[in-house]
Amino acid sequence: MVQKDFVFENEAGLHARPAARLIKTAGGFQSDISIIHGTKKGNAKSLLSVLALGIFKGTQITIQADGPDEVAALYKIEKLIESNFSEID
Amino acid sequence: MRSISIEDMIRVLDMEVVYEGKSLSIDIETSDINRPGLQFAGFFDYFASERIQVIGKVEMTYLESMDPDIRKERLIRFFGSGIPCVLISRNMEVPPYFLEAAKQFGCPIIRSRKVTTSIIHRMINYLDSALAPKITRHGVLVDVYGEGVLLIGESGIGKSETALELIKRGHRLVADDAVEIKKVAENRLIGDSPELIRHFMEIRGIGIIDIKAMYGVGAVIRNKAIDLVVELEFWDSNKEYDRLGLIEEYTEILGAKLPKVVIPVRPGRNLAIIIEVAVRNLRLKRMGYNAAQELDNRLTSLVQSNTNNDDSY
Repeated sequence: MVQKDFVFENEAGLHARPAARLIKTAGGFQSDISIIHGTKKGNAKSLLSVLALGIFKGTQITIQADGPDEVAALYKIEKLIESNFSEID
Repeated sequence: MRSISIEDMIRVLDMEVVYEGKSLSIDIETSDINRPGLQFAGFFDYFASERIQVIGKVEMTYLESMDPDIRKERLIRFFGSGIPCVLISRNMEVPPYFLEAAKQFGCPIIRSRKVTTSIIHRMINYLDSALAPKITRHGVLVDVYGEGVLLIGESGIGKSETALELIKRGHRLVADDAVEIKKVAENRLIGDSPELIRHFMEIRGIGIIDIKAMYGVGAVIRNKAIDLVVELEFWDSNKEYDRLGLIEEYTEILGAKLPKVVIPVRPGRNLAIIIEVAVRNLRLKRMGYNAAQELDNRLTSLVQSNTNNDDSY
């Protein structure tokens, strides 16, 4: 299992569009990917589960990946977050 | 074990802070309380010092009647044993000697207007609920014939679609995708939806839908105790699926044991009907009727009567 902490920088928070991009990226991997915000944990492949976390600008989150392609998955998600969700794949 | 801070409790139960002590953000880990009458009388064996100490009229009157020197000594022993906080009921005045002893150890004193038994009751209820273990599970929770059914399974296996079909058939949605589960009693789990996404669903190909707006208020329910776990999985031709239903399978969530059925998914299987049947079967079993057992009994009695007939020849 690999994981990494991020501070969410997107001005509008993790609203529907970036969330949709995130689950699309996460859905491309076999590994189980979760987003952790405080005591809440959401499945990164499920839109509602990600939206339910209520992630705003400045929120500290942890991305966790567990599975055969965990390293690649975490790398791709990291790039997506760093690019402020503009990266289109 | 979860813990909550006294500050939250004071806010929710509308209490008043008489003396803040060192800090109000002391964590409480138990919903039990103690009335320190025996301690004031000098008996400190088995003193539950980790609990909130509640002082009612009896304790207060007893303190008043004590010899000041003995009282001082007992109060120092009382506060010195590391109690989290003291609650005074009935909005009673806090006597100066009591406050002084509390200050010596920095122990917070809070006060409520309510009578003792009533505030104890509310406090235990609140603490039980706030301290209940919680987790969030990926799945869908639906009320089917009044039983809470938690659908679990891999992403994309069709949990939401199955739930949609169930809703169309008159059952009610509690939560889609993320289910917040709280253990309120030994074998009782309550499922709820995260506030933000309550009664929304995601259907692949369509997107987000609002079940309450689309199907009406009768198609949703706020929370529900979980009675059955249904696991959907892709049909695996190498795996043996239960054909008889004689063996009951269970799963554990937060240490509570729940009946579970594994339903293989294959195109053309109407999952909503199968889930309805699973719930009806669960209810029958609970009422003491087990179809598989009944069939087995019939066979056994038939075999027996045949054997008896053989004997007669």
